[in-house]
Amino acid sequence: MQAFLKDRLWIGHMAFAVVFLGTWEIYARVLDEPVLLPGPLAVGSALLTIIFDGSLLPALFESLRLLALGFTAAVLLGVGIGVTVGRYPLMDRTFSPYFNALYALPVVALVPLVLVWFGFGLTGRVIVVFLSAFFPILINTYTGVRDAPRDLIEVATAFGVSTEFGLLRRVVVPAAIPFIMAGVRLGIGRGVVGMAIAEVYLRLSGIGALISSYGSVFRTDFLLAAILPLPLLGIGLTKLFGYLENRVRYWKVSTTT
Amino acid sequence: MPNTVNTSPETSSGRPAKVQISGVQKYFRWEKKGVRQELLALDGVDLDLKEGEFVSVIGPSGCGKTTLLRIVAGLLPFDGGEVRIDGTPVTGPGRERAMVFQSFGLFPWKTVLDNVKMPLVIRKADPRVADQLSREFITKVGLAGFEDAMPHQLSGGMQQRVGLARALVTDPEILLMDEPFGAIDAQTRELMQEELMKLWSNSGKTVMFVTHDLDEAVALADRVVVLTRGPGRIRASIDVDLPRPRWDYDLRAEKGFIEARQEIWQMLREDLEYQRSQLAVG
Repeated sequence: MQAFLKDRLWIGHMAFAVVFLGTWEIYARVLDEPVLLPGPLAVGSALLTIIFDGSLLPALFESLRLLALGFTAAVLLGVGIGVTVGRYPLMDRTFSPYFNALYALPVVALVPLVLVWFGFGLTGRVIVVFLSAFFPILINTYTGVRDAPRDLIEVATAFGVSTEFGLLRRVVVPAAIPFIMAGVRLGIGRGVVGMAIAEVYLRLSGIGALISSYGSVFRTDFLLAAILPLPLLGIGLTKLFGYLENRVRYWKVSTTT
Repeated sequence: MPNTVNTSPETSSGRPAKVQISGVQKYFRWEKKGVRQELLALDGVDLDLKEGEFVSVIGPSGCGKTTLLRIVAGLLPFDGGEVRIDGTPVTGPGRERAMVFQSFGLFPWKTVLDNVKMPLVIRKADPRVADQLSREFITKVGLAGFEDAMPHQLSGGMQQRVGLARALVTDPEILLMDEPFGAIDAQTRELMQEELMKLWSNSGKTVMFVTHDLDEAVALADRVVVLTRGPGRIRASIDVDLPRPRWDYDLRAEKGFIEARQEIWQMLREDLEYQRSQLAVG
Protein backbone atom coordinates (compact mmCIF):
# COMPACT_ATOMS: atom_id res chain seq x y z
CA MET A 1 0.00 0.00 0.00
CA GLN A 2 2.85 2.32 0.84
CA ALA A 3 4.54 1.61 -2.47
CA PHE A 4 1.23 2.35 -4.16
CA LEU A 5 1.00 5.77 -2.52
CA LYS A 6 4.62 6.57 -3.25
CA ASP A 7 4.00 5.85 -6.90
CA ARG A 8 3.75 9.29 -8.53
CA LEU A 9 2.21 7.79 -11.66
CA TRP A 10 -0.95 7.20 -9.69
CA ILE A 11 -1.28 10.92 -9.01
CA GLY A 12 -0.73 11.63 -12.70
CA HIS A 13 -3.46 9.19 -13.70
CA MET A 14 -5.93 10.76 -11.27
CA ALA A 15 -5.05 14.32 -12.30
CA PHE A 16 -5.55 13.44 -15.94
CA ALA A 17 -8.93 11.86 -15.18
CA VAL A 18 -10.12 14.96 -13.31
CA VAL A 19 -9.04 17.32 -16.09
CA PHE A 20 -10.47 15.05 -18.79
CA LEU A 21 -13.83 14.51 -17.09
CA GLY A 22 -14.11 18.21 -16.16
CA THR A 23 -13.49 19.34 -19.75
CA TRP A 24 -15.93 16.73 -21.03
CA GLU A 25 -18.65 17.82 -18.58
CA ILE A 26 -18.25 21.51 -19.49
CA TYR A 27 -18.16 20.81 -23.21
CA ALA A 28 -21.25 18.56 -22.99
CA ARG A 29 -23.18 21.29 -21.13
CA VAL A 30 -22.18 23.93 -23.68
CA LEU A 31 -23.04 21.60 -26.58
CA ASP A 32 -26.31 20.56 -24.94
CA GLU A 33 -26.92 17.60 -27.26
CA PRO A 34 -27.42 14.58 -24.96
CA VAL A 35 -27.83 12.18 -27.89
CA LEU A 36 -24.53 13.25 -29.42
CA LEU A 37 -22.54 13.67 -26.21
CA PRO A 38 -23.91 13.14 -22.72
CA GLY A 39 -21.69 14.47 -19.91
CA PRO A 40 -19.87 12.21 -17.47
CA LEU A 41 -22.42 12.97 -14.73
CA ALA A 42 -25.24 11.78 -16.98
CA VAL A 43 -23.26 8.64 -17.84
CA GLY A 44 -22.59 8.08 -14.16
CA SER A 45 -26.23 8.33 -13.26
CA ALA A 46 -27.12 5.99 -16.15
CA LEU A 47 -24.57 3.52 -14.80
CA LEU A 48 -26.17 3.68 -11.34
CA THR A 49 -29.57 3.18 -12.94
CA ILE A 50 -28.59 0.05 -14.86
CA ILE A 51 -26.80 -1.33 -11.81
CA PHE A 52 -29.86 -0.91 -9.60
CA ASP A 53 -32.58 -1.82 -12.09
CA GLY A 54 -30.84 -5.20 -12.49
CA SER A 55 -29.97 -5.00 -16.16
CA LEU A 56 -26.18 -4.66 -15.87
CA LEU A 57 -25.19 -7.46 -13.49
CA PRO A 58 -26.93 -10.39 -15.27
CA ALA A 59 -25.52 -9.10 -18.58
CA LEU A 60 -22.07 -8.80 -17.05
CA PHE A 61 -22.36 -12.27 -15.61
CA GLU A 62 -23.32 -13.72 -18.99
CA SER A 63 -20.35 -11.95 -20.60
CA LEU A 64 -17.96 -13.17 -17.92
CA ARG A 65 -19.13 -16.73 -18.38
CA LEU A 66 -18.37 -16.45 -22.09
CA LEU A 67 -14.97 -14.92 -21.32
CA ALA A 68 -14.16 -17.61 -18.79
CA LEU A 69 -15.02 -20.43 -21.20
CA GLY A 70 -13.09 -19.01 -24.15
CA PHE A 71 -10.15 -17.89 -22.06
CA THR A 72 -9.78 -21.18 -20.20
CA ALA A 73 -9.77 -23.03 -23.52
CA ALA A 74 -7.17 -20.57 -24.83
CA VAL A 75 -4.90 -21.09 -21.80
CA LEU A 76 -5.17 -24.89 -21.92
CA LEU A 77 -4.63 -25.23 -25.65
CA GLY A 78 -2.18 -22.32 -25.90
CA VAL A 79 0.08 -23.75 -23.22
CA GLY A 80 -0.37 -27.34 -24.40
CA ILE A 81 0.35 -26.68 -28.06
CA GLY A 82 2.99 -24.08 -27.16
CA VAL A 83 4.97 -26.61 -25.12
CA THR A 84 4.77 -29.19 -27.91
CA VAL A 85 5.79 -26.77 -30.65
CA GLY A 86 8.52 -25.15 -28.55
CA ARG A 87 10.07 -28.46 -27.57
CA TYR A 88 10.45 -29.79 -31.11
CA PRO A 89 12.46 -27.58 -33.47
CA LEU A 90 10.90 -29.18 -36.54
CA MET A 91 7.39 -28.23 -35.41
CA ASP A 92 8.64 -24.77 -34.49
CA ARG A 93 10.08 -24.20 -37.96
CA THR A 94 7.00 -25.64 -39.62
CA PHE A 95 4.27 -23.84 -37.74
CA SER A 96 5.60 -20.60 -36.27
CA PRO A 97 5.15 -18.49 -39.46
CA TYR A 98 1.47 -19.47 -39.52
CA PHE A 99 1.01 -18.72 -35.86
CA ASN A 100 2.54 -15.30 -36.29
CA ALA A 101 0.35 -14.62 -39.34
CA LEU A 102 -2.78 -15.65 -37.44
CA TYR A 103 -1.69 -13.57 -34.45
CA ALA A 104 -1.64 -10.50 -36.68
CA LEU A 105 -5.05 -11.26 -38.17
CA PRO A 106 -7.87 -9.25 -36.55
CA VAL A 107 -10.48 -11.57 -35.07
CA VAL A 108 -13.32 -9.36 -36.38
CA ALA A 109 -12.35 -10.50 -39.85
CA LEU A 110 -12.98 -14.09 -38.84
CA VAL A 111 -16.41 -13.48 -37.35
CA PRO A 112 -18.38 -14.22 -40.57
CA LEU A 113 -16.43 -17.44 -40.97
CA VAL A 114 -17.11 -18.49 -37.38
CA LEU A 115 -20.79 -17.72 -37.98
CA VAL A 116 -20.90 -19.95 -41.06
CA TRP A 117 -18.98 -22.79 -39.45
CA PHE A 118 -20.22 -22.78 -35.89
CA GLY A 119 -23.41 -20.72 -35.91
CA PHE A 120 -24.19 -17.96 -33.46
CA GLY A 121 -24.77 -20.19 -30.44
CA LEU A 122 -22.51 -20.34 -27.43
CA THR A 123 -19.94 -22.43 -29.35
CA GLY A 124 -19.39 -19.73 -31.97
CA ARG A 125 -19.06 -17.00 -29.35
CA VAL A 126 -16.64 -19.04 -27.24
CA ILE A 127 -14.55 -19.64 -30.37
CA VAL A 128 -14.28 -15.90 -31.03
CA VAL A 129 -13.03 -15.30 -27.47
CA PHE A 130 -10.73 -18.29 -27.79
CA LEU A 131 -9.22 -17.07 -31.07
CA SER A 132 -8.59 -13.65 -29.56
CA ALA A 133 -6.72 -14.91 -26.50
CA PHE A 134 -5.10 -18.05 -27.90
CA PHE A 135 -2.23 -16.70 -30.03
CA PRO A 136 -0.40 -14.50 -27.54
CA ILE A 137 -0.48 -17.36 -25.03
CA LEU A 138 0.69 -19.86 -27.63
CA ILE A 139 3.48 -17.68 -28.98
CA ASN A 140 4.81 -16.72 -25.55
CA THR A 141 4.68 -20.31 -24.35
CA TYR A 142 6.63 -21.73 -27.26
CA THR A 143 9.18 -18.94 -27.07
CA GLY A 144 9.75 -19.70 -23.39
CA VAL A 145 9.93 -23.44 -23.99
CA ARG A 146 12.20 -23.07 -27.01
CA ASP A 147 14.65 -20.97 -24.98
CA ALA A 148 14.62 -23.38 -22.05
CA PRO A 149 18.05 -23.34 -20.37
CA ARG A 150 20.11 -26.18 -21.86
CA ASP A 151 22.49 -26.21 -18.94
CA LEU A 152 19.67 -26.92 -16.50
CA ILE A 153 18.34 -29.68 -18.74
CA GLU A 154 21.81 -31.20 -18.55
CA VAL A 155 21.86 -30.83 -14.76
CA ALA A 156 18.52 -32.60 -14.44
CA THR A 157 19.72 -35.36 -16.78
CA ALA A 158 22.94 -35.79 -14.78
CA PHE A 159 20.91 -36.21 -11.60
CA GLY A 160 18.73 -38.90 -13.06
CA VAL A 161 15.81 -37.34 -14.93
CA SER A 162 15.56 -39.65 -17.90
CA THR A 163 12.14 -39.10 -19.49
CA GLU A 164 10.87 -36.30 -21.69
CA PHE A 165 7.97 -35.82 -19.30
CA GLY A 166 10.37 -35.51 -16.37
CA LEU A 167 12.38 -32.84 -18.16
CA LEU A 168 9.20 -30.93 -19.04
CA ARG A 169 7.94 -31.07 -15.49
CA ARG A 170 11.19 -30.31 -13.69
CA VAL A 171 12.96 -27.91 -16.05
CA VAL A 172 11.29 -26.79 -19.24
CA VAL A 173 7.87 -25.72 -18.02
CA PRO A 174 9.02 -24.09 -14.73
CA ALA A 175 11.64 -22.14 -16.69
CA ALA A 176 8.97 -21.01 -19.17
CA ILE A 177 6.47 -19.90 -16.50
CA PRO A 178 7.41 -16.20 -16.69
CA PHE A 179 6.87 -16.27 -20.47
CA ILE A 180 3.62 -18.17 -20.13
CA MET A 181 2.31 -15.67 -17.58
CA ALA A 182 3.22 -12.76 -19.88
CA GLY A 183 1.23 -14.47 -22.63
CA VAL A 184 -1.72 -15.01 -20.31
CA ARG A 185 -1.68 -11.32 -19.34
CA LEU A 186 -1.70 -10.28 -23.01
CA GLY A 187 -4.32 -12.90 -23.76
CA ILE A 188 -6.81 -11.71 -21.15
CA GLY A 189 -6.90 -8.17 -22.60
CA ARG A 190 -7.50 -9.54 -26.07
CA GLY A 191 -10.06 -11.96 -24.65
CA VAL A 192 -12.16 -9.06 -23.35
CA VAL A 193 -12.08 -7.50 -26.82
CA GLY A 194 -13.07 -10.84 -28.35
CA MET A 195 -15.93 -11.15 -25.87
CA ALA A 196 -17.35 -7.77 -26.90
CA ILE A 197 -16.96 -8.62 -30.59
CA ALA A 198 -18.70 -11.96 -30.15
CA GLU A 199 -21.60 -10.39 -28.29
CA VAL A 200 -22.13 -7.54 -30.71
CA TYR A 201 -21.46 -9.20 -34.06
CA LEU A 202 -22.34 -12.84 -33.51
CA ARG A 203 -25.40 -12.74 -31.38
CA LEU A 204 -26.60 -10.07 -29.02
CA SER A 205 -25.96 -11.25 -25.51
CA GLY A 206 -24.50 -10.03 -22.27
CA ILE A 207 -22.89 -6.59 -22.25
CA GLY A 208 -22.86 -6.55 -26.05
CA ALA A 209 -26.65 -6.83 -26.15
CA LEU A 210 -26.97 -4.03 -23.63
CA ILE A 211 -24.71 -1.76 -25.71
CA SER A 212 -26.59 -2.49 -28.94
CA SER A 213 -30.02 -2.03 -27.47
CA TYR A 214 -29.19 1.39 -25.97
CA GLY A 215 -27.48 2.39 -29.22
CA SER A 216 -30.52 1.54 -31.29
CA VAL A 217 -32.77 3.83 -29.19
CA PHE A 218 -30.14 6.61 -29.10
CA ARG A 219 -29.73 6.50 -25.31
CA THR A 220 -26.09 7.54 -25.56
CA ASP A 221 -25.73 8.04 -21.80
CA PHE A 222 -26.83 4.46 -21.17
CA LEU A 223 -24.74 3.25 -24.12
CA LEU A 224 -21.58 4.74 -22.57
CA ALA A 225 -22.55 3.43 -19.14
CA ALA A 226 -22.81 -0.08 -20.60
CA ILE A 227 -19.45 0.21 -22.37
CA LEU A 228 -17.69 1.35 -19.19
CA PRO A 229 -17.40 -2.10 -17.56
CA LEU A 230 -15.38 -3.40 -20.54
CA PRO A 231 -12.21 -1.32 -20.14
CA LEU A 232 -12.54 -1.63 -16.36
CA LEU A 233 -12.72 -5.39 -16.77
CA GLY A 234 -9.71 -5.32 -19.09
CA ILE A 235 -7.65 -3.20 -16.70
CA GLY A 236 -8.70 -5.23 -13.67
CA LEU A 237 -7.93 -8.60 -15.20
CA THR A 238 -4.65 -7.42 -16.73
CA LYS A 239 -3.59 -6.02 -13.34
CA LEU A 240 -4.54 -9.26 -11.66
CA PHE A 241 -2.52 -11.37 -14.08
CA GLY A 242 0.32 -8.85 -14.00
CA TYR A 243 0.41 -9.28 -10.24
CA LEU A 244 0.47 -13.07 -10.55
CA GLU A 245 3.16 -12.78 -13.20
CA ASN A 246 5.37 -10.71 -10.92
CA ARG A 247 4.88 -13.20 -8.15
CA VAL A 248 6.05 -16.14 -10.24
CA ARG A 249 8.89 -14.31 -11.93
CA TYR A 250 10.32 -12.48 -8.95
CA TRP A 251 13.40 -14.66 -9.13
CA LYS A 252 13.96 -13.43 -12.65
CA VAL A 253 13.21 -9.78 -12.03
CA SER A 254 15.46 -9.50 -9.02
CA THR A 255 18.47 -10.85 -10.89
CA THR A 256 18.33 -7.94 -13.31
CA THR A 257 17.56 -5.15 -10.87
CA MET B 1 55.41 -31.15 -32.09
CA PRO B 2 56.04 -32.87 -28.80
CA ASN B 3 55.63 -36.59 -28.54
CA THR B 4 52.43 -37.69 -26.93
CA VAL B 5 52.93 -40.06 -24.09
CA ASN B 6 50.14 -42.44 -23.39
CA THR B 7 50.10 -43.19 -19.75
CA SER B 8 47.47 -45.46 -18.40
CA PRO B 9 48.89 -45.95 -14.95
CA GLU B 10 48.13 -49.52 -14.10
CA THR B 11 47.22 -49.53 -10.49
CA SER B 12 50.42 -50.41 -8.73
CA SER B 13 48.62 -51.74 -5.70
CA GLY B 14 46.73 -54.14 -7.93
CA ARG B 15 43.32 -52.77 -6.95
CA PRO B 16 40.84 -52.64 -9.81
CA ALA B 17 40.22 -49.23 -11.35
CA LYS B 18 37.05 -47.46 -10.28
CA VAL B 19 36.78 -45.64 -13.58
CA GLN B 20 38.31 -47.10 -16.72
CA ILE B 21 38.47 -44.92 -19.78
CA SER B 22 39.90 -46.80 -22.73
CA GLY B 23 40.43 -45.52 -26.26
CA VAL B 24 37.63 -42.98 -26.04
CA GLN B 25 37.15 -41.13 -29.26
CA LYS B 26 34.73 -38.26 -29.82
CA TYR B 27 33.85 -36.34 -32.94
CA PHE B 28 31.76 -33.20 -33.00
CA ARG B 29 29.68 -33.07 -36.17
CA TRP B 30 27.62 -30.23 -37.52
CA GLU B 31 26.46 -28.80 -40.78
CA LYS B 32 27.57 -25.49 -42.23
CA LYS B 33 25.86 -24.26 -45.38
CA GLY B 34 24.86 -27.81 -46.23
CA VAL B 35 28.42 -29.10 -45.90
CA ARG B 36 29.08 -31.65 -43.21
CA GLN B 37 31.83 -30.63 -40.86
CA GLU B 38 33.52 -32.70 -38.22
CA LEU B 39 36.08 -32.11 -35.56
CA LEU B 40 37.99 -34.75 -33.68
CA ALA B 41 37.75 -33.65 -30.05
CA LEU B 42 39.14 -36.69 -28.26
CA ASP B 43 41.48 -39.13 -29.95
CA GLY B 44 41.83 -42.36 -28.05
CA VAL B 45 41.92 -41.31 -24.43
CA ASP B 46 43.06 -43.92 -21.92
CA LEU B 47 42.76 -43.09 -18.25
CA ASP B 48 42.12 -45.10 -15.12
CA LEU B 49 41.01 -43.70 -11.81
CA LYS B 50 41.61 -45.79 -8.73
CA GLU B 51 39.01 -45.99 -6.03
CA GLY B 52 39.38 -43.05 -3.66
CA GLU B 53 41.80 -41.27 -5.97
CA PHE B 54 41.64 -37.54 -6.64
CA VAL B 55 42.66 -36.88 -10.24
CA SER B 56 42.92 -33.43 -11.79
CA VAL B 57 42.59 -33.17 -15.55
CA ILE B 58 44.29 -30.15 -17.04
CA GLY B 59 45.04 -28.96 -20.54
CA PRO B 60 44.90 -25.96 -22.85
CA SER B 61 41.45 -24.59 -23.62
CA GLY B 62 39.74 -26.59 -26.32
CA CYS B 63 41.58 -29.79 -25.47
CA GLY B 64 38.38 -31.63 -24.69
CA LYS B 65 38.77 -32.01 -20.93
CA THR B 66 35.18 -30.97 -20.25
CA THR B 67 34.03 -33.22 -23.09
CA LEU B 68 35.83 -36.14 -21.47
CA LEU B 69 34.19 -35.41 -18.11
CA ARG B 70 30.73 -35.20 -19.68
CA ILE B 71 31.34 -38.54 -21.40
CA VAL B 72 32.22 -40.12 -18.05
CA ALA B 73 29.07 -38.49 -16.61
CA GLY B 74 27.06 -40.24 -19.29
CA LEU B 75 25.80 -36.96 -20.70
CA LEU B 76 27.47 -37.22 -24.09
CA PRO B 77 27.55 -40.07 -26.61
CA PHE B 78 30.98 -40.92 -28.03
CA ASP B 79 32.29 -42.56 -31.16
CA GLY B 80 34.83 -45.13 -30.06
CA GLY B 81 36.32 -46.79 -27.04
CA GLU B 82 34.69 -47.48 -23.73
CA VAL B 83 34.09 -46.09 -20.29
CA ARG B 84 33.61 -48.57 -17.47
CA ILE B 85 32.69 -47.94 -13.88
CA ASP B 86 33.41 -50.85 -11.58
CA GLY B 87 33.71 -52.86 -14.77
CA THR B 88 30.28 -51.93 -16.12
CA PRO B 89 30.13 -49.93 -19.37
CA VAL B 90 28.62 -46.46 -19.06
CA THR B 91 25.52 -45.87 -21.16
CA GLY B 92 24.10 -42.84 -19.35
CA PRO B 93 24.07 -41.00 -16.03
CA GLY B 94 24.15 -43.23 -12.98
CA ARG B 95 23.50 -43.06 -9.27
CA GLU B 96 27.09 -43.74 -8.30
CA ARG B 97 28.19 -40.53 -10.02
CA ALA B 98 27.37 -36.89 -9.24
CA MET B 99 28.48 -33.79 -11.03
CA VAL B 100 29.41 -30.25 -10.04
CA PHE B 101 29.05 -27.72 -12.84
CA GLN B 102 31.16 -24.72 -13.79
CA SER B 103 28.12 -22.46 -14.10
CA PHE B 104 26.71 -23.93 -10.84
CA GLY B 105 23.57 -25.22 -12.60
CA LEU B 106 21.21 -24.19 -9.81
CA PHE B 107 17.50 -23.94 -10.48
CA PRO B 108 16.72 -20.22 -10.06
CA TRP B 109 13.09 -20.87 -9.07
CA LYS B 110 13.99 -23.23 -6.26
CA THR B 111 15.28 -22.37 -2.79
CA VAL B 112 18.69 -23.55 -1.62
CA LEU B 113 17.02 -26.40 0.26
CA ASP B 114 14.96 -27.51 -2.75
CA ASN B 115 18.00 -27.33 -5.03
CA VAL B 116 20.01 -29.56 -2.72
CA LYS B 117 17.07 -31.91 -2.28
CA MET B 118 16.47 -32.28 -6.03
CA PRO B 119 18.57 -35.42 -6.67
CA LEU B 120 16.84 -37.15 -3.77
CA VAL B 121 13.39 -36.09 -4.98
CA ILE B 122 14.20 -37.43 -8.45
CA ARG B 123 15.14 -40.73 -6.83
CA LYS B 124 11.87 -40.69 -4.94
CA ALA B 125 13.56 -40.79 -1.55
CA ASP B 126 11.44 -40.58 1.59
CA PRO B 127 10.58 -36.87 1.87
CA ARG B 128 11.51 -36.65 5.54
CA VAL B 129 14.84 -38.35 4.99
CA ALA B 130 15.49 -36.13 1.96
CA ASP B 131 14.75 -33.03 3.98
CA GLN B 132 16.98 -34.05 6.86
CA LEU B 133 19.88 -35.12 4.62
CA SER B 134 19.68 -31.92 2.59
CA ARG B 135 19.79 -29.73 5.70
CA GLU B 136 22.73 -31.75 6.97
CA PHE B 137 24.73 -31.15 3.78
CA ILE B 138 23.78 -27.48 3.61
CA THR B 139 25.30 -27.17 7.08
CA LYS B 140 28.37 -29.15 6.01
CA VAL B 141 29.13 -26.73 3.16
CA GLY B 142 28.71 -23.79 5.56
CA LEU B 143 25.34 -22.50 4.42
CA ALA B 144 23.27 -23.13 7.54
CA GLY B 145 20.66 -20.39 7.77
CA PHE B 146 20.41 -20.01 3.98
CA GLU B 147 18.04 -22.93 3.42
CA ASP B 148 15.21 -20.70 2.21
CA ALA B 149 17.32 -18.25 0.18
CA MET B 150 16.97 -18.12 -3.58
CA PRO B 151 20.15 -18.77 -5.63
CA HIS B 152 20.27 -15.24 -7.04
CA GLN B 153 20.55 -13.87 -3.51
CA LEU B 154 23.85 -15.72 -3.01
CA SER B 155 27.38 -14.89 -4.15
CA GLY B 156 29.11 -17.13 -6.70
CA GLY B 157 31.05 -18.92 -4.00
CA MET B 158 27.90 -19.60 -2.00
CA GLN B 159 26.08 -20.81 -5.11
CA GLN B 160 28.81 -23.34 -5.77
CA ARG B 161 28.56 -24.50 -2.16
CA VAL B 162 24.95 -25.31 -2.97
CA GLY B 163 26.15 -27.14 -6.09
CA LEU B 164 28.58 -29.11 -3.95
CA ALA B 165 25.94 -29.98 -1.35
CA ARG B 166 23.61 -31.12 -4.12
CA ALA B 167 26.31 -33.41 -5.53
CA LEU B 168 27.22 -34.86 -2.12
CA VAL B 169 23.71 -35.36 -0.78
CA THR B 170 23.27 -38.65 -2.62
CA ASP B 171 26.58 -39.94 -1.25
CA PRO B 172 28.03 -40.71 -4.71
CA GLU B 173 31.09 -42.92 -5.12
CA ILE B 174 32.43 -40.74 -7.91
CA LEU B 175 32.45 -36.97 -7.98
CA LEU B 176 32.80 -35.32 -11.39
CA MET B 177 33.78 -31.69 -11.18
CA ASP B 178 33.85 -29.45 -14.24
CA GLU B 179 35.98 -26.39 -13.45
CA PRO B 180 33.82 -25.90 -10.36
CA PHE B 181 35.74 -22.90 -9.03
CA GLY B 182 36.52 -21.32 -12.40
CA ALA B 183 33.86 -18.65 -12.05
CA ILE B 184 34.72 -17.75 -8.46
CA ASP B 185 37.07 -14.97 -7.31
CA ALA B 186 40.61 -15.94 -6.31
CA GLN B 187 40.35 -15.63 -2.52
CA THR B 188 37.06 -17.49 -2.31
CA ARG B 189 38.47 -20.11 -4.67
CA GLU B 190 41.30 -21.00 -2.29
CA LEU B 191 38.89 -21.24 0.59
CA MET B 192 36.59 -23.49 -1.43
CA GLN B 193 39.52 -25.70 -2.44
CA GLU B 194 40.41 -26.20 1.19
CA GLU B 195 36.83 -27.00 2.11
CA LEU B 196 36.56 -29.45 -0.75
CA MET B 197 39.67 -31.18 0.60
CA LYS B 198 38.09 -31.39 4.03
CA LEU B 199 34.83 -32.78 2.67
CA TRP B 200 36.64 -35.30 0.50
CA SER B 201 39.28 -36.55 2.93
CA ASN B 202 38.49 -39.96 4.38
CA SER B 203 35.32 -40.11 2.28
CA GLY B 204 36.76 -42.71 -0.06
CA LYS B 205 35.21 -40.93 -3.01
CA THR B 206 36.89 -40.97 -6.39
CA VAL B 207 37.17 -37.48 -7.86
CA MET B 208 37.72 -36.40 -11.45
CA PHE B 209 38.42 -32.70 -11.31
CA VAL B 210 38.67 -30.74 -14.56
CA THR B 211 40.43 -27.38 -14.34
CA HIS B 212 42.57 -25.00 -16.33
CA ASP B 213 44.17 -23.65 -13.15
CA LEU B 214 47.60 -25.22 -12.71
CA ASP B 215 47.97 -24.40 -9.00
CA GLU B 216 44.53 -25.75 -8.28
CA ALA B 217 45.21 -28.96 -10.20
CA VAL B 218 48.39 -29.66 -8.24
CA ALA B 219 47.14 -28.49 -4.86
CA LEU B 220 44.14 -30.80 -4.81
CA ALA B 221 45.12 -33.94 -6.62
CA ASP B 222 46.90 -37.20 -6.02
CA ARG B 223 47.65 -37.19 -9.72
CA VAL B 224 47.47 -34.59 -12.47
CA VAL B 225 46.62 -35.76 -15.97
CA VAL B 226 47.67 -33.42 -18.77
CA LEU B 227 45.78 -33.45 -22.06
CA THR B 228 47.25 -32.29 -25.34
CA ARG B 229 45.62 -29.52 -27.27
CA GLY B 230 42.82 -30.72 -29.54
CA PRO B 231 42.32 -33.43 -30.50
CA GLY B 232 42.68 -34.36 -26.86
CA ARG B 233 45.00 -37.19 -25.89
CA ILE B 234 46.61 -38.00 -22.59
CA ARG B 235 49.99 -36.39 -22.67
CA ALA B 236 51.26 -37.21 -19.22
CA SER B 237 50.24 -38.30 -15.78
CA ILE B 238 52.13 -36.76 -12.91
CA ASP B 239 51.89 -38.03 -9.36
CA VAL B 240 51.73 -35.37 -6.70
CA ASP B 241 53.50 -36.70 -3.65
CA LEU B 242 52.50 -34.25 -0.99
CA PRO B 243 51.40 -35.29 2.45
CA ARG B 244 47.77 -35.03 3.43
CA PRO B 245 46.03 -33.26 5.03
CA ARG B 246 47.36 -30.46 2.90
CA TRP B 247 45.57 -27.59 4.60
CA ASP B 248 47.73 -27.41 7.73
CA TYR B 249 51.03 -26.45 6.09
CA ASP B 250 52.14 -24.00 3.42
CA LEU B 251 51.50 -26.24 0.44
CA ARG B 252 52.58 -23.83 -2.23
CA ALA B 253 56.06 -23.38 -0.69
CA GLU B 254 56.67 -27.13 -0.66
CA LYS B 255 59.38 -28.50 -2.98
CA GLY B 256 57.11 -31.24 -4.35
CA PHE B 257 54.47 -28.70 -5.25
CA ILE B 258 56.89 -26.44 -7.06
CA GLU B 259 58.45 -29.30 -9.01
CA ALA B 260 55.15 -30.79 -10.12
CA ARG B 261 53.90 -27.37 -11.05
CA GLN B 262 57.02 -26.67 -13.10
CA GLU B 263 56.88 -29.98 -14.92
CA ILE B 264 53.26 -29.46 -15.96
CA TRP B 265 53.79 -25.82 -16.84
CA GLN B 266 56.57 -26.85 -19.19
CA MET B 267 54.18 -29.13 -21.08
CA LEU B 268 51.37 -26.62 -21.21
CA ARG B 269 53.79 -23.99 -22.44
CA GLU B 270 54.94 -26.10 -25.37
CA ASP B 271 51.35 -26.39 -26.45
CA LEU B 272 50.78 -22.67 -26.00
CA GLU B 273 53.86 -21.84 -28.06
CA TYR B 274 52.78 -24.24 -30.75
CA GLN B 275 49.37 -22.57 -30.80
CA ARG B 276 50.99 -19.16 -31.04
CA SER B 277 53.18 -20.23 -33.96
CA GLN B 278 50.13 -21.64 -35.72
CA LEU B 279 48.39 -18.28 -35.29
CA ALA B 280 51.41 -16.47 -36.71
CA VAL B 281 51.48 -18.76 -39.76
CA GLY B 282 47.75 -18.83 -40.30
